Amino acid sequence: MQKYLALRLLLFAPTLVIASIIIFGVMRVLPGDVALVVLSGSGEVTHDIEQIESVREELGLDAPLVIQYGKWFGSMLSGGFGGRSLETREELRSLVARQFPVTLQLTFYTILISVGISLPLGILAAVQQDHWLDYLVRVLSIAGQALPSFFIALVSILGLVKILHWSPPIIYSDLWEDPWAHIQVMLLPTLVLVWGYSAFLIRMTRSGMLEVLRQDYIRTAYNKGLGWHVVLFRHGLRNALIPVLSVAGLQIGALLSGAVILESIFGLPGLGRGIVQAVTVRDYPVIQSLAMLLVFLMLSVNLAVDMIYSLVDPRISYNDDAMRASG
Amino acid sequence: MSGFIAVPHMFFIVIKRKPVGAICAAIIFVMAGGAIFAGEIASHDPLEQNISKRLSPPGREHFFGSDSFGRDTFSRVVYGARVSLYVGTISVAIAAVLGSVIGIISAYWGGKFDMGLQRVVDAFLAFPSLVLALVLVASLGASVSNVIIAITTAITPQMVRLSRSLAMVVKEEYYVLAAQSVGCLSTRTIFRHILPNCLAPLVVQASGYLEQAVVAEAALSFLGLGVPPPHSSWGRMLHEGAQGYLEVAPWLTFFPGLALSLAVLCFSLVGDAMRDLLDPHISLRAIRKHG
Repeated sequence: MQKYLALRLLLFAPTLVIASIIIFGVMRVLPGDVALVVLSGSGEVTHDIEQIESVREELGLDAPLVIQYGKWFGSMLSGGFGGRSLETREELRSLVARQFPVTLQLTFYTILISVGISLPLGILAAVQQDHWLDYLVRVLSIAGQALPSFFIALVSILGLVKILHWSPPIIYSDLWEDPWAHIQVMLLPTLVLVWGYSAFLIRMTRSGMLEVLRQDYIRTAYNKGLGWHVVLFRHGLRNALIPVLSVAGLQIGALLSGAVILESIFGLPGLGRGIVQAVTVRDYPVIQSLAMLLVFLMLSVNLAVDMIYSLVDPRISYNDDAMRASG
Repeated sequence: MSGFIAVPHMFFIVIKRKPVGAICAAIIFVMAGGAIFAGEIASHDPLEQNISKRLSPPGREHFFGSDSFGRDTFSRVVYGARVSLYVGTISVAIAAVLGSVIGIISAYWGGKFDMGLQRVVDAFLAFPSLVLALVLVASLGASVSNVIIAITTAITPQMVRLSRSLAMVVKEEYYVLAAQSVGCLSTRTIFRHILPNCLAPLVVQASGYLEQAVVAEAALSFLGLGVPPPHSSWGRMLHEGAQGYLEVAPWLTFFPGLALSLAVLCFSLVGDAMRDLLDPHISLRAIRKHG
C-alpha cells in the first residue's frame, strides 16, 4: 500500500509538468502571432507596429520559447501565477486568491452532498432490487447522468422564478462574511452538480452492493446472527465501496467541467467563469494559469480519492492500479 | 438466403432483449434522418428573419415559437441537429481511429516508448475535458472544424488508454506469436491480427463517447465559444435563449434543450444496451446479477 501511494505521489509532479507543457504549447506554438491575436481580441482591426511591439514586450515574446516557458512555470510555482491579466491589468496572484476558493467550495460541497445521498440511495436500491423504489432510483440516476447540467440549471432557474418567484442572488457572498447569502448563492449550482455526480455514484453503489450481497460471506454474516445493519455496512458497504471509489476519481473531470459551465450560468466568480471570460477576450496569461490550476485541482482530488481508496482496500497494490487505470 | 433471414431475426432478438435500447436507437435514427433531410422537414428557413413575428409563443404558425429576430425555433432545432450530430460523429470517428492506432502501437512496442507515451496520456487525462477544449478553442479560434479538433483532442487519450489495455492482452495470444514467428511485419501483425481482435469493445466504447462529444459541443457553444453564428447548433440556441430571454420566451431555451437531452439520453442508453449485448463478460455478470 505504501508503495502504491508513493508511486501515485511520484507520478503527480511529472503529470503536472507535462500538462503545463501541453497548455503552454497549445497557447504559444500553434499558428498565429500571439501579439496580433491578443490585439485583435480587443476589437480593433488595425494596429501599428508600436502596439504590437509593446504587447510583445509585455508578454516577453521576444525570448526563446524555452525561456518563456521556464519563466511562466517558475512564476506558477512561486505563487505569482504568471504576471497579470492583459484585460483588467489585475495581478494574477489576487485573481487566483479570489477565484480558487469559490471553485474549491463548489466542488467540496458537491462531493460531500453527493456522497451523503448516493450511498444510502444506492444501498436502498440494491436491497430493494426490482422494487418500485429501485426503479425510481435507477430512472432518476439515468436521467441525472444523461441530461446536460446547463439545461437542468436553466430549467431550474426558470422553475424557481415562475413558481416560487425567487431568483438566485447574482452577487457572490463569502461564507465567513455572510453565511446565509453564501448558502443562497451556492445552493442551486451545487444541487445541479450533485444531481449529475450523485446519479453516477448511485449507479455504481447499487451495482457494487448487488455484487457484494450475493457473496458467501454476507450469508455467513447473517447466519452467525449479526444484525442487518452490521452486515450491510461493515461487510457489504465496505466491499462495495471499492469499485465505487475506483471509478469516482474518473468522474472528477466531468464534475469540474460541469463546474466551469455552472459558474458561468450562475455568475459565481470561480476559476471556471474566469477561464471562460478569459477565453472570450483571449487573455492569454489568465487562460494559461487558470487552466493549470484546474488541472492541479483535478489531480489533487484524484490523489485524495486514491488515498481513500487504498485505505478502504488494504489489498490494493500498484499492479491492481495499472489494470484499473488502463481498463 | 440465410442472410435475409438472419438480419430480421437478429433484429427481433435485440428488440426483445433490449427494448429500451431499441427504442432509443430508433429515436436516434429519426433524429439523424431529420438532420439529413432538414430542408424537407423544417417549416421555415432557419435563418429567415421576420421581425413582425418576433418572440411569438409556440402555435400553429411556429410550432416551437420564434426568437427575437422572428426566426422559427422548430426549423432551427431541426437544422441544429445537423450541426450537433455532425460535430459529434466526426470528432468521435477521428478520435476512435487515431486513439485505437496509437494505443495499439504503444502496447505493441512497449518498453520506454510505451512508458513515455502513457505519461503524456496521463497529462491529457488530467484535464477536465471542457478545460482542454476551452484552451484549444482559445488558441485556434471558434469555428466548426476547430471545435471538432478540440473535442477530438479531449476524447483521443481516453481511446488510447482503452485500446492499449485491450492490445496488451491480445498481443500475448498465440496467434500473434504465430504471426510474428512466420515473419509478419509489425504493421501487418498490428492491423491484421491485433486490431481486429480489439475491435468490438473499441466500437462499443466509441459509441459511448458520442454522448460525450455531443454534450461537449453543446457546452462549448452554450458558453459562446463553439460553433459560430449563424449556424444553429442546440448549444448555440440555448446560449441565445438564455441571454435575457429565459423568462420572456422560455420556449427558446426549452425546445433546443429538450432535443439535446433526448439525443444524449438515447446515445447513453443505446451505448449501455450495446455494451450488454456485445460484451459477453459484462452481460454474463448482468445475468448473474438479475438471475
